[in-house]
Amino acid sequence: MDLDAIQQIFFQECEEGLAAMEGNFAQLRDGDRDSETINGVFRCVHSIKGGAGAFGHERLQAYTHQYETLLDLIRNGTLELTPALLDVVVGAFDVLADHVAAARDGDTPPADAAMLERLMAAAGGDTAPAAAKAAAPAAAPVVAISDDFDDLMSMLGDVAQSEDGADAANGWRLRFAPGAKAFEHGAEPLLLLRELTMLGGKVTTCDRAELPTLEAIEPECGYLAWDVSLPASVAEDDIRAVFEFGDPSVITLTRGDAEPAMAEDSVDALFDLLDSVAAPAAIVEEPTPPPPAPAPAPAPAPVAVAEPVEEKAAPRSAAPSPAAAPAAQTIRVDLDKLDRLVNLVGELVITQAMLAQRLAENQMGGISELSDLEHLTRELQESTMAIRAQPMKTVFSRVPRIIRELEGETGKRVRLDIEGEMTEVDKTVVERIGEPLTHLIRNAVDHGLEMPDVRVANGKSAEGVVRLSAAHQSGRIVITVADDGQGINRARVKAKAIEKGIILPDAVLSEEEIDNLIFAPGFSTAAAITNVSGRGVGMDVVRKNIQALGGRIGIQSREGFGSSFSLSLPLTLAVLDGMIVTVGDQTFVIPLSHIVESLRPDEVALSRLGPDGTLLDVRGAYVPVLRIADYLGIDGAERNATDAVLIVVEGDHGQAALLVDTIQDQRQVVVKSLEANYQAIDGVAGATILGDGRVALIADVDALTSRGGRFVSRSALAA
Amino acid sequence: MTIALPAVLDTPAAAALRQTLRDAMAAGGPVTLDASAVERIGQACLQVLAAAEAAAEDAELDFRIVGASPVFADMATLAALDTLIAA
Repeated sequence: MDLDAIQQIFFQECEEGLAAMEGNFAQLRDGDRDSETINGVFRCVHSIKGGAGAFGHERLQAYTHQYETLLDLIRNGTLELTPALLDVVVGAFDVLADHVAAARDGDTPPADAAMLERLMAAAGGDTAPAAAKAAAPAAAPVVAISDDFDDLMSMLGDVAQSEDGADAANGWRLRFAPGAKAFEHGAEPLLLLRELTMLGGKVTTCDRAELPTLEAIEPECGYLAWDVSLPASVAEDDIRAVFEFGDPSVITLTRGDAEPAMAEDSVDALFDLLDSVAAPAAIVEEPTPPPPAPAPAPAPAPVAVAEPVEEKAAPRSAAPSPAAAPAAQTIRVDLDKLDRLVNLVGELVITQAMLAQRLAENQMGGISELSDLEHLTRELQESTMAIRAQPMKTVFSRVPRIIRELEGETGKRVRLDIEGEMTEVDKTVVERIGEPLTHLIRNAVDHGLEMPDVRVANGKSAEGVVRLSAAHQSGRIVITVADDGQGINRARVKAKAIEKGIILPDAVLSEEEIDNLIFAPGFSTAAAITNVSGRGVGMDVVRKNIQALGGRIGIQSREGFGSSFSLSLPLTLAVLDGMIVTVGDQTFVIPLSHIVESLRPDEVALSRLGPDGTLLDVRGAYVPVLRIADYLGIDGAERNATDAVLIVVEGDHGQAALLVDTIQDQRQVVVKSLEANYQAIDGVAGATILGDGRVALIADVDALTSRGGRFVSRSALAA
Repeated sequence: MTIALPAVLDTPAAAALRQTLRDAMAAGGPVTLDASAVERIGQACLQVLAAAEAAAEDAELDFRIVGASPVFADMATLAALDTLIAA
């Protein structure tokens, strides 16, 4: 694995860490001030800092250092986490996310000066007076009274340096010998040395014993080794963490055991001073350009900062979930390998189906091994799919930041409710749902929610609510974005649609149809185009993206009470249970999730409507009969409904009865994308390979019923 | 002979640096390296410079690094190779 790949892992872990932090903030905001929660935030920042140092992202490292300093003061109780302080911490988190993104993409780091100042003010401003007060009694002979923390620190440095022997003798001794392979995979040992100095280390000697002559030197071989001394106050884990991403055998870490005999009194005075100040270790390791004073701080050593490196099979997880003590063991797998596995399992399912068919042809379809095989295949397939499943949390965790930014941009106040974030869904869906979801959330805040004064005037709370939820519903995942804002102003939507030429002025539309107009390309109702949303390029793209995932989008809106957008997506894009039917000379698969019932109708159940419309009476409800053959241009299909089979399906636009010749079978099929292999066809959701090796098309029930829906409303108008 | 060191002295640059220094040594005169343009330097080039410094000492040649840029000075100090910039 080369350095780039390791760095890649680092950034993945950063992502996970940031997501975990966002979760922690939600808990903190809910009033959960559990020390483990703030510890979780601290650990994430600490891990990012460690990696940033190892990979030479100095700005990120410097920023995280300051952030960590403040967090440390909070977690050790020096600072109380007031709502104002929480705002600073969360604000700093957003800048941290930008920093990570910039480091990952090689962009210019974000302007963080203002935030650094806020962090420093929050960390120093609040502690300094307390420090001075507490310091006064203990500071008698050695240290003058000071109300400036920086001065105090520099004095500490002076004193500690004058007692150099004591701490150095008692501190860490590190031998760092990167060896001949020092530069393998683009590694740079000096960056690790730099990190050690950030911890307060001092490079005492450079061992050139192995360095050959200029004639003999191999430019790409490492020859140098270093001895580094570190203050005793630095935690062993912190030192080992510096070498976390490399070969652990390059270091030898020993602890000096000499007694700190010299000038014990003055050192003791310092200890007292530090005790009273309760200065956290993080401040002591402040990276001043010259190696900082190795102050023997007795302050609380960083608790649970890093797990012992040796114990981990995988690189350290940057995202220890809050209070989740026994972390599940995980490994990282290249996605290509996983996809290959998924594909192979798909082929296995097809082969199993073929085998079943062949055996059935030879009157051996009933053998028990075959049903065992089918059972195992299905289980294997489900397990494989489960590997690809990821919790929606990875997407939802980015939402709080979006909301915060929107609040800033619009001046509205928003409360975000999230439900079902642990709902798992296929990785592809997780990856591609982010953009449409972001757009819906922006719309909800920008168009949906009213300004606080308007809300209050309407008898609502000043704070608007955006509710984001995910849940499994009958084999699909339904993601809902709802707001309690003003709802869709249908009169305005319709007027706009007429103005834009999307509908005719005399069109008679149901409320649902008006709502759906906002998905029309080029539609925008925002009175003024804002930065946030409303360029009129949004909702049609949202719908297209959702449809590309095999999903549907629905709207429910009540004027004055808010709107709700629900996205219904398949759990996996790879398999579906379907009914195999024949239409003319073609075989089709109708997804079982859409099928309500199938029947062979009597003449009395059928009513003619218009020149070529037929309605089926299903226990008193009339549903349109749709001839798949007509829609998809198939010859030789049965036209007479009484001689055919009607399959009643439920789609986005209500029920319809699909007219097919015969039903062959019902089984699980592996979906092969038409888009990827050919092109998208309206009315066809994909293709599959049947047991006999033939290709069958999978009917897109929603597309078919939407035609039926239009047909009915047209007919209803005519009637 | 004054040689201007390039801005980037990372690991891949070490081979060329070694060759330059060997040529300079072979010429026999005092060697002065101008490090004012150095923006990045890693262990690989620092150890080549240290080897050259030792070689110059053996050959009793004058070897100097002048005008060290902040980065150069910083990294040499970090690696405890301050002798390179001491002269």
